[in-house]
Amino acid sequence: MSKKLLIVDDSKMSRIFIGQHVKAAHPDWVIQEAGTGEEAIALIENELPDFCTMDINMPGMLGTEAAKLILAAHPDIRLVIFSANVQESYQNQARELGTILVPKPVTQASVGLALDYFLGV
Amino acid sequence: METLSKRHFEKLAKIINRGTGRAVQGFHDIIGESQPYWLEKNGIDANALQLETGHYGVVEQDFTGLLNGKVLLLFTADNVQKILQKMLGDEIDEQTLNDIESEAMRELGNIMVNACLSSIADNLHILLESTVTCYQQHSTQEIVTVIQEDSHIDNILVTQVNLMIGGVALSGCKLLTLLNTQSNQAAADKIELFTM
Repeated sequence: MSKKLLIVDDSKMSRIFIGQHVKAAHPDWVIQEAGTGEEAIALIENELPDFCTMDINMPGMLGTEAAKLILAAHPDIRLVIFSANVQESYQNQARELGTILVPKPVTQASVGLALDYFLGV
Repeated sequence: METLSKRHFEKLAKIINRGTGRAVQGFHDIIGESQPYWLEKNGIDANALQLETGHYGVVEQDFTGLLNGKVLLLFTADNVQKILQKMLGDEIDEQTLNDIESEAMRELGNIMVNACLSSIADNLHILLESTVTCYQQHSTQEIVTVIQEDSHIDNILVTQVNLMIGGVALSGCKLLTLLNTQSNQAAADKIELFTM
């Protein structure tokens, strides 16, 4: 069954690269994009994704704040923090949210970590 | 009042060097060795920073917390073109290259700059909040002027970054860590606890 992934990142290039790697592994998945945490929250109100990747440093609210709000409202979404900001404080915040922090750069390997988390591998 | 000693600066240089090591783990073969050195802001010029005459692609990120300052990652114009062609392929035309330059360099710089900031934060056991990275082209003189006129910083760590992308060696890239070190006893205490 086709799944829906929301990619939240202010970098268009990161969104493209994440999407390409995901499509290579799961061509049938539907991919949505958002450039900020606020945009992601608005999108999710209208259409619930199965999975979500969330950057941290973006214009507006931090990705960790957006993730907290999204997971509180929709705990069934499988969400990973996908960021170059790999400070232990943010890794701890990810753990407190019940998720993981996948470090950039966006590569087949790093996207693979996210996919494994989504699918419970 | 100056609160950071020479030993503190040596420790900070070591920590930031570890950050470039983190970036190595992410990129495998992008970053080579680096030789950091400290400069006081007063009297700084292009020679002291060892900048070439011309233009640089500059990735910039501000950070706040127990330590405050900004990081500038400088790529020579020649290196920017080589990096983009390696990242995006030789087939890409010049117009597309120009269109995507800012986005691509910002993302590459974002990863490298954050590796260094994360190293500072984790080695000192602090949280550093940072702005979104931005990318612009600046002349050498504009870079020097920006540093000279920044009243919030007083010391600069200059790190030479040697990149290897896809077998192409790129020299002349620099990571400038601009710090406000005045009256910062809390930071001095944290740095004191760091063991090299």
